Amino acid sequence: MREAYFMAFVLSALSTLMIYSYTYHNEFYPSIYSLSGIPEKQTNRLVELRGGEITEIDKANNEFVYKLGADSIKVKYNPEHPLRKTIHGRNYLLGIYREGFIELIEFHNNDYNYIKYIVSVFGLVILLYYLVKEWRLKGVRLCPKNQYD
Amino acid sequence: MPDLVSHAIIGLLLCELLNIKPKSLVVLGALLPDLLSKFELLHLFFPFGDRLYWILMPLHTPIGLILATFLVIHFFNYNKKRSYILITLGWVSHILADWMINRHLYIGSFLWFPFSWKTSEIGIAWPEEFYLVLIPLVTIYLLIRFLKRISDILPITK
Repeated sequence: MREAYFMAFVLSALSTLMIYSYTYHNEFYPSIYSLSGIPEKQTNRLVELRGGEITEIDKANNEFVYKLGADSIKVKYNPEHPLRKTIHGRNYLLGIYREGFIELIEFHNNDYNYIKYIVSVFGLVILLYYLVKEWRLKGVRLCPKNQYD
Repeated sequence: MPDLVSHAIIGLLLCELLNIKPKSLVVLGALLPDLLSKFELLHLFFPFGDRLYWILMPLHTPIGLILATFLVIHFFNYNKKRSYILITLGWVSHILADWMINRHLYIGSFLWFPFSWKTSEIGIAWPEEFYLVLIPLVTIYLLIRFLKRISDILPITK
Protein backbone atom coordinates (compact mmCIF):
# COMPACT_ATOMS: atom_id res chain seq x y z
CA MET A 1 0.00 0.00 0.00
CA ARG A 2 2.88 2.35 0.91
CA GLU A 3 4.44 1.51 -2.45
CA ALA A 4 1.22 2.37 -4.29
CA TYR A 5 1.11 5.79 -2.60
CA PHE A 6 4.74 6.37 -3.53
CA MET A 7 4.08 5.46 -7.17
CA ALA A 8 1.07 7.79 -7.19
CA PHE A 9 3.33 10.55 -5.84
CA VAL A 10 5.96 9.88 -8.53
CA LEU A 11 3.36 9.93 -11.31
CA SER A 12 1.82 13.14 -9.94
CA ALA A 13 5.24 14.81 -9.69
CA LEU A 14 6.09 13.83 -13.28
CA SER A 15 2.74 15.06 -14.54
CA THR A 16 3.22 18.35 -12.67
CA LEU A 17 6.64 18.84 -14.27
CA MET A 18 5.20 18.19 -17.72
CA ILE A 19 2.30 20.60 -17.18
CA TYR A 20 4.70 23.22 -15.78
CA SER A 21 7.03 22.88 -18.77
CA TYR A 22 4.18 23.11 -21.30
CA THR A 23 2.53 26.04 -19.53
CA TYR A 24 5.54 28.21 -18.70
CA HIS A 25 8.09 27.59 -21.47
CA ASN A 26 6.75 30.54 -23.45
CA GLU A 27 8.01 32.88 -20.72
CA PHE A 28 11.58 31.76 -21.50
CA TYR A 29 11.56 30.10 -24.94
CA PRO A 30 8.54 31.27 -26.93
CA SER A 31 6.92 28.81 -29.33
CA ILE A 32 5.75 29.79 -32.78
CA TYR A 33 2.10 29.55 -31.66
CA SER A 34 2.70 31.89 -28.72
CA LEU A 35 4.31 34.46 -31.03
CA SER A 36 1.21 34.72 -33.15
CA GLY A 37 -1.01 34.75 -30.04
CA ILE A 38 0.51 37.54 -27.94
CA PRO A 39 2.79 39.63 -30.15
CA GLU A 40 3.23 42.72 -27.90
CA LYS A 41 4.55 40.67 -24.99
CA GLN A 42 7.06 38.80 -27.11
CA THR A 43 8.46 41.71 -29.16
CA ASN A 44 12.28 42.04 -29.31
CA ARG A 45 12.80 38.65 -27.73
CA LEU A 46 15.37 36.11 -28.85
CA VAL A 47 13.57 33.13 -30.39
CA GLU A 48 14.79 29.70 -31.44
CA LEU A 49 12.51 27.52 -33.54
CA ARG A 50 13.33 23.93 -34.48
CA GLY A 51 12.13 21.35 -36.92
CA GLY A 52 9.98 23.49 -39.16
CA GLU A 53 10.28 24.08 -42.88
CA ILE A 54 10.96 27.04 -45.12
CA THR A 55 8.07 27.78 -47.42
CA GLU A 56 7.27 30.64 -49.76
CA ILE A 57 10.70 32.24 -50.21
CA ASP A 58 10.33 35.82 -51.45
CA LYS A 59 13.81 36.73 -52.69
CA ALA A 60 12.73 40.21 -53.80
CA ASN A 61 11.85 41.21 -50.21
CA ASN A 62 14.37 38.89 -48.51
CA GLU A 63 11.76 37.02 -46.53
CA PHE A 64 10.26 33.57 -46.22
CA VAL A 65 7.53 31.80 -44.29
CA TYR A 66 8.67 29.35 -41.60
CA LYS A 67 6.06 26.66 -41.01
CA LEU A 68 6.02 24.50 -37.88
CA GLY A 69 3.05 22.19 -37.50
CA ALA A 70 -0.14 24.13 -38.08
CA ASP A 71 1.54 27.48 -37.30
CA SER A 72 3.69 29.71 -39.49
CA ILE A 73 5.53 33.02 -39.23
CA LYS A 74 7.21 35.44 -41.61
CA VAL A 75 11.03 35.62 -41.33
CA LYS A 76 13.16 38.44 -42.76
CA TYR A 77 16.73 37.53 -43.58
CA ASN A 78 19.94 39.18 -44.67
CA PRO A 79 20.54 38.39 -48.37
CA GLU A 80 24.29 38.11 -47.69
CA HIS A 81 23.63 34.94 -45.68
CA PRO A 82 23.00 31.89 -47.88
CA LEU A 83 19.58 30.34 -47.28
CA ARG A 84 18.18 27.08 -48.58
CA LYS A 85 15.73 24.35 -47.64
CA THR A 86 16.92 21.49 -45.40
CA ILE A 87 17.67 18.18 -47.10
CA HIS A 88 16.19 15.17 -45.26
CA GLY A 89 16.56 16.69 -41.82
CA ARG A 90 15.54 19.27 -39.29
CA ASN A 91 16.80 22.81 -38.82
CA TYR A 92 17.40 25.50 -36.21
CA LEU A 93 16.26 29.06 -36.66
CA LEU A 94 17.54 31.79 -34.34
CA GLY A 95 16.19 35.30 -34.57
CA ILE A 96 14.69 38.28 -32.81
CA TYR A 97 10.92 38.59 -32.77
CA ARG A 98 9.73 41.93 -34.08
CA GLU A 99 6.04 42.67 -34.23
CA GLY A 100 4.60 40.15 -36.68
CA PHE A 101 7.84 38.68 -38.00
CA ILE A 102 11.24 37.26 -36.99
CA GLU A 103 14.47 39.00 -37.91
CA LEU A 104 16.83 36.14 -38.70
CA ILE A 105 20.19 35.97 -36.92
CA GLU A 106 21.27 32.45 -37.85
CA PHE A 107 19.83 29.46 -39.64
CA HIS A 108 21.33 25.98 -39.47
CA ASN A 109 20.30 23.05 -41.64
CA ASN A 110 20.63 19.58 -40.07
CA ASP A 111 20.98 18.01 -43.52
CA TYR A 112 20.51 14.22 -43.62
CA ASN A 113 19.76 14.22 -39.88
CA TYR A 114 16.99 11.65 -40.44
CA ILE A 115 19.72 9.03 -41.06
CA LYS A 116 20.40 9.30 -37.33
CA TYR A 117 16.89 8.12 -36.54
CA ILE A 118 17.36 5.10 -38.82
CA VAL A 119 20.72 4.31 -37.15
CA SER A 120 19.02 4.70 -33.75
CA VAL A 121 16.81 1.69 -34.48
CA PHE A 122 19.96 -0.43 -34.03
CA GLY A 123 20.33 1.10 -30.56
CA LEU A 124 16.93 -0.39 -29.71
CA VAL A 125 18.09 -3.72 -31.15
CA ILE A 126 21.14 -3.63 -28.80
CA LEU A 127 18.82 -2.97 -25.84
CA LEU A 128 16.45 -5.79 -26.85
CA TYR A 129 19.40 -8.18 -27.30
CA TYR A 130 20.65 -7.61 -23.75
CA LEU A 131 17.15 -7.68 -22.27
CA VAL A 132 16.38 -11.02 -23.90
CA LYS A 133 19.84 -12.36 -22.99
CA GLU A 134 19.65 -11.41 -19.30
CA TRP A 135 15.95 -11.50 -18.39
CA ARG A 136 12.89 -13.66 -18.77
CA LEU A 137 9.35 -12.36 -18.76
CA LYS A 138 7.18 -13.45 -15.84
CA GLY A 139 3.78 -11.76 -15.94
CA VAL A 140 4.46 -8.05 -16.48
CA ARG A 141 7.87 -8.19 -14.78
CA LEU A 142 11.29 -9.29 -15.92
CA CYS A 143 13.21 -11.83 -13.82
CA PRO A 144 16.99 -12.28 -14.10
CA LYS A 145 18.14 -15.46 -15.87
CA ASN A 146 21.34 -15.55 -13.80
CA GLN A 147 22.27 -14.64 -10.27
CA TYR A 148 24.06 -11.27 -10.43
CA ASP A 149 25.72 -9.40 -7.54
CA MET B 1 21.93 14.39 -29.40
CA PRO B 2 24.11 11.48 -30.37
CA ASP B 3 22.20 8.56 -31.89
CA LEU B 4 20.87 5.70 -29.73
CA VAL B 5 23.67 3.34 -30.81
CA SER B 6 26.27 5.79 -29.42
CA HIS B 7 24.34 6.07 -26.15
CA ALA B 8 24.02 2.27 -25.91
CA ILE B 9 27.75 1.84 -26.55
CA ILE B 10 28.62 4.41 -23.88
CA GLY B 11 26.52 2.30 -21.48
CA LEU B 12 28.23 -0.89 -22.61
CA LEU B 13 31.67 0.76 -22.24
CA LEU B 14 30.79 1.64 -18.63
CA CYS B 15 29.78 -2.01 -18.06
CA GLU B 16 33.06 -3.25 -19.52
CA LEU B 17 35.24 -0.78 -17.61
CA LEU B 18 33.42 -1.14 -14.26
CA ASN B 19 32.64 -4.86 -14.70
CA ILE B 20 28.90 -4.33 -14.28
CA LYS B 21 26.20 -6.97 -14.73
CA PRO B 22 23.42 -7.07 -15.76
CA LYS B 23 24.43 -4.82 -18.64
CA SER B 24 20.86 -4.40 -19.87
CA LEU B 25 19.95 -2.11 -16.95
CA VAL B 26 22.78 0.32 -17.77
CA VAL B 27 21.92 0.20 -21.50
CA LEU B 28 18.25 0.76 -20.67
CA GLY B 29 19.23 3.77 -18.54
CA ALA B 30 21.47 5.06 -21.33
CA LEU B 31 18.54 5.02 -23.77
CA LEU B 32 15.83 6.00 -21.27
CA PRO B 33 15.87 9.81 -21.76
CA ASP B 34 15.31 9.44 -25.51
CA LEU B 35 12.89 6.51 -25.17
CA LEU B 36 10.68 8.72 -23.01
CA SER B 37 11.04 12.08 -24.72
CA LYS B 38 11.46 11.34 -28.43
CA PHE B 39 7.75 10.81 -28.94
CA GLU B 40 7.97 14.52 -29.77
CA LEU B 41 9.14 13.35 -33.22
CA LEU B 42 5.48 12.60 -33.95
CA HIS B 43 5.44 16.22 -35.06
CA LEU B 44 7.07 14.95 -38.26
CA PHE B 45 3.80 13.20 -39.08
CA PHE B 46 1.19 15.25 -37.22
CA PRO B 47 0.76 19.05 -36.97
CA PHE B 48 1.68 19.34 -33.27
CA GLY B 49 4.43 21.92 -33.78
CA ASP B 50 6.74 21.92 -30.74
CA ARG B 51 3.96 21.29 -28.20
CA LEU B 52 4.95 17.66 -27.61
CA TYR B 53 8.59 18.70 -27.18
CA TRP B 54 7.70 20.99 -24.29
CA ILE B 55 5.32 18.47 -22.67
CA LEU B 56 7.96 15.71 -22.77
CA MET B 57 11.02 17.90 -22.09
CA PRO B 58 11.05 17.17 -18.29
CA LEU B 59 11.59 13.46 -19.11
CA HIS B 60 14.97 14.45 -20.55
CA THR B 61 16.11 16.29 -17.40
CA PRO B 62 17.84 14.87 -14.29
CA ILE B 63 14.88 15.54 -11.99
CA GLY B 64 12.41 13.93 -14.41
CA LEU B 65 14.66 10.90 -14.81
CA ILE B 66 15.16 10.53 -11.05
CA LEU B 67 11.37 10.16 -10.84
CA ALA B 68 10.93 8.06 -14.00
CA THR B 69 13.55 5.55 -12.78
CA PHE B 70 11.32 4.74 -9.80
CA LEU B 71 8.62 3.69 -12.27
CA VAL B 72 10.96 1.72 -14.54
CA ILE B 73 12.52 -0.44 -11.79
CA HIS B 74 9.08 -1.84 -11.02
CA PHE B 75 9.19 -3.79 -14.26
CA PHE B 76 12.21 -5.73 -12.94
CA ASN B 77 11.91 -8.46 -10.33
CA TYR B 78 15.37 -7.72 -9.01
CA ASN B 79 17.19 -5.90 -6.20
CA LYS B 80 15.48 -2.47 -6.32
CA LYS B 81 18.45 -0.48 -5.03
CA ARG B 82 20.85 -2.06 -7.50
CA SER B 83 18.39 -1.65 -10.40
CA TYR B 84 17.95 2.01 -9.52
CA ILE B 85 21.72 2.65 -9.37
CA LEU B 86 22.45 0.86 -12.66
CA ILE B 87 19.66 2.60 -14.59
CA THR B 88 20.72 5.93 -13.07
CA LEU B 89 24.33 5.31 -14.16
CA GLY B 90 22.99 4.82 -17.68
CA TRP B 91 20.92 8.01 -17.88
CA VAL B 92 23.63 10.10 -16.23
CA SER B 93 25.94 8.96 -19.06
CA HIS B 94 23.23 9.99 -21.56
CA ILE B 95 22.71 13.44 -20.05
CA LEU B 96 26.47 14.08 -19.84
CA ALA B 97 27.02 12.89 -23.42
CA ASP B 98 24.25 15.16 -24.72
CA TRP B 99 25.61 18.08 -22.69
CA MET B 100 29.13 17.60 -24.01
CA ILE B 101 28.42 16.66 -27.61
CA ASN B 102 25.21 18.41 -28.70
CA ARG B 103 25.50 21.73 -30.43
CA HIS B 104 22.56 24.08 -30.76
CA LEU B 105 22.07 27.71 -31.65
CA TYR B 106 20.47 28.81 -28.38
CA ILE B 107 18.54 26.19 -26.39
CA GLY B 108 20.89 23.55 -24.93
CA SER B 109 20.42 20.98 -22.14
CA PHE B 110 17.99 21.69 -19.32
CA LEU B 111 20.17 20.41 -16.47
CA TRP B 112 18.58 22.38 -13.63
CA PHE B 113 14.91 22.26 -14.65
CA PRO B 114 12.49 23.02 -12.89
CA PHE B 115 14.68 25.17 -10.61
CA SER B 116 16.14 27.09 -13.53
CA TRP B 117 15.23 27.41 -17.21
CA LYS B 118 18.83 28.23 -18.14
CA THR B 119 20.38 25.75 -20.53
CA SER B 120 24.01 24.86 -21.12
CA GLU B 121 26.16 22.70 -23.35
CA ILE B 122 29.75 22.28 -24.48
CA GLY B 123 28.63 21.58 -28.04
CA ILE B 124 31.22 19.57 -29.98
CA ALA B 125 29.08 18.48 -32.94
CA TRP B 126 25.79 19.32 -34.64
CA PRO B 127 23.13 16.59 -34.41
CA GLU B 128 23.65 15.59 -38.06
CA GLU B 129 27.35 14.97 -37.34
CA PHE B 130 26.49 12.01 -35.08
CA TYR B 131 29.02 9.81 -36.94
CA LEU B 132 31.87 11.86 -35.40
CA VAL B 133 30.93 10.27 -32.07
CA LEU B 134 29.56 6.93 -33.28
CA ILE B 135 32.61 5.74 -35.23
CA PRO B 136 35.21 6.37 -32.47
CA LEU B 137 32.88 4.84 -29.85
CA VAL B 138 32.32 1.65 -31.87
CA THR B 139 36.08 1.40 -32.47
CA ILE B 140 36.93 1.86 -28.79
CA TYR B 141 34.26 -0.64 -27.70
CA LEU B 142 35.42 -3.32 -30.16
CA LEU B 143 39.04 -2.70 -29.11
CA ILE B 144 38.19 -3.16 -25.42
CA ARG B 145 36.21 -6.36 -26.18
CA PHE B 146 39.13 -7.63 -28.24
CA LEU B 147 41.68 -6.87 -25.50
CA LYS B 148 39.46 -8.56 -22.89
CA ARG B 149 39.14 -11.63 -25.13
CA ILE B 150 42.92 -11.70 -25.63
CA SER B 151 43.55 -11.39 -21.89
CA ASP B 152 41.21 -14.36 -21.32
CA ILE B 153 43.06 -16.49 -23.90
CA LEU B 154 46.66 -15.57 -23.13
CA PRO B 155 47.82 -16.74 -19.70
CA ILE B 156 50.67 -14.21 -19.76
CA THR B 157 48.32 -11.35 -18.92
CA LYS B 158 46.76 -13.15 -15.94
